[in-house]
Amino acid sequence: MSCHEMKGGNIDLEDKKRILLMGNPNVGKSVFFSKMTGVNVISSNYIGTTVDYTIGELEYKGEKAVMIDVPGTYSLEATSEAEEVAVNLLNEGADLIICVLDATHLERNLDLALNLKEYDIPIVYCLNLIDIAEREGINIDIDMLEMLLGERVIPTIAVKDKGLDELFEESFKHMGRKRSGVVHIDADERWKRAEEIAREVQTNTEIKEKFIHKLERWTLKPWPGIPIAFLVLAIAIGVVVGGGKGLRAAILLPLIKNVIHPFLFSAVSSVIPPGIARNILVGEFGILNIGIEWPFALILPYVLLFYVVFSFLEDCGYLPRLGVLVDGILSKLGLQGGNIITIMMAYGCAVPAILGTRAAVTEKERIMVASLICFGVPCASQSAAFVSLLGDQSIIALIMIFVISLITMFGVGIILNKTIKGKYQPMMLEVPNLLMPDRKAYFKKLKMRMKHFLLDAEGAMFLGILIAALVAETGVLNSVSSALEPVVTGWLGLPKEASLALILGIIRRELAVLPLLDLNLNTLQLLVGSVVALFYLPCLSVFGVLAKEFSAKKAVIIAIATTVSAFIFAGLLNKVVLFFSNVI
Amino acid sequence: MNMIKIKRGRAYKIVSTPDDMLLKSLGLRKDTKLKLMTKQPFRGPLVVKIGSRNIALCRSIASKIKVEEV
Repeated sequence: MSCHEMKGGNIDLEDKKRILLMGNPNVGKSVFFSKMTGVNVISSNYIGTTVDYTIGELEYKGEKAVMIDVPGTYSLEATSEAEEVAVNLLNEGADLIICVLDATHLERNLDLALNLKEYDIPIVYCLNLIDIAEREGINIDIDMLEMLLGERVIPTIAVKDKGLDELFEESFKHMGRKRSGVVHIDADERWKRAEEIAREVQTNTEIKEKFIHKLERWTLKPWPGIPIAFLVLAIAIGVVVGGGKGLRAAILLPLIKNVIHPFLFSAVSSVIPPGIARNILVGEFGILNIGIEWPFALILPYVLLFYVVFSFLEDCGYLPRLGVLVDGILSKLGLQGGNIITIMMAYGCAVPAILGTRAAVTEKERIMVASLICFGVPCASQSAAFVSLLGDQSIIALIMIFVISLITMFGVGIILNKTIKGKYQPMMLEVPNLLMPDRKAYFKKLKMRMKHFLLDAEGAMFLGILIAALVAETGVLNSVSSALEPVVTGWLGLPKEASLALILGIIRRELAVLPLLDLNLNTLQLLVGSVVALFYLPCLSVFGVLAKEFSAKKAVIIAIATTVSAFIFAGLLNKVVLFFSNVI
Repeated sequence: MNMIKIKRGRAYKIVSTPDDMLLKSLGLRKDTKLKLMTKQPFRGPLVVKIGSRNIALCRSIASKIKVEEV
């Protein structure tokens, strides 16, 4: 397995039967994967491509096998990287293919189904989404389909576990079995055959239009699709910001301030005498003080709610529709509409979003989206810090920050579109149906995202706060502050203690905001401080992922460009506002 | 006629398409029947209905597809 790069976990691939899970995009393949495989799942990258796929282990009556979730493809013509990977995985050989067919779009799916028969590997087909097909008035004669395909066809509703037992049994029965009659036919003939089979097995009945059909139409047309998009965003922001504030004020802050902190303070005080050591633990910047308050009370509630909302929008199939609606506007920036999904993801965390730029077809789009994210998109942690800092004192400043962020993205987009050479891939996609997310898959994803946040973010945050405690308690902060005074006080108009935000902001983006909390800043200072934080260095993890995905040079260029603009724009904002307030 | 010019409420059949594998796998092939669902603003994509499926297609590619009314 020399051409795969594995990360996370350990699965022994040798001496195990190999199952390839294949199908068109958006047929519910990943639901099969998460239901059939165990907890031990690894992500793998095909060397030389940007395509990731997952591998999991499965077991049936004592027999073991590994399942590879092959990237969804429409065909095996190797016209895209995903298709190339699929073809390579097929050529490496397997003991079984499980091919997932979407019962609602059988004809298109049959093309891949027939294409796979050209490989000398046994196949089990599952006809998935049969409940939705019934809803749409589509009836499929499964016995007939089985006969025409010449392989087992198992009807399934994966999200409701229907048909999975049979799929397990049939899979292990057919695994490794020799298959005869490999015929190669060309694409035109295959499409004709797919059409014939579909016509033969499928009967459509007119059905009364249901609410979900109306919703599918409404969300795809500019009217009322665009107002609906604004409504969805407004509700999403309301849930995240409002709900986060509620959680923070009603539960987390009282719990930490009144119960946990007093307890830790008295516990530490009884053991450690007053002095630097005690201050580092439970003092003003103590790791057991703000080290708990900041991440858990100020940041966590917003991050949690962001992922609750985002994962829902993702799983119900709404986001591609948003991509279609904004394609016209984004194409002016040289970006395809679908990139809006990656940008929205970045409001959670820039790291998966930058990894997600792999979905963009062209290199130009990738580097553009990554730059837009680094410049203009505050992550959920930083947004939460903005809400904590500005929400109580000046709602206008809070709104201003997000308006500035949007303007920046457009500005950066326009400039990069002119300066970076290359093309963008124009939109050509099938819009998936809207559907109710599967509860199990949804919570699994939410759990994974929160786990990642807690491990990755809180570790770095703790480190940052430890540094804060050390520099504050040892007096280093004072000398750094004096050195930075011309910039911080002279140019930005902030008190010199604000330099702590600049030091800590290197580690995490919210740490460029939170040290401003107790400085009693006026509205202008709050806004200036927030603008610095918004543009400032990408955090360490983002820098790492930029260097890995693009190059160290590009990562450094982006970091310098964002930091320089942070000081220039925030300083200009300060000077211009002061100038006009003096004139008036 | 050029696919860009299709109107709502009428049915069309594809006469010819550029030789693009993705286009063809999405079902936009000679003789495919389609209807216009909507055109997106700011010169955004056309959304056409093929059977029960919605396909979003940017104007630059749509302009290379020839259709006839049926």
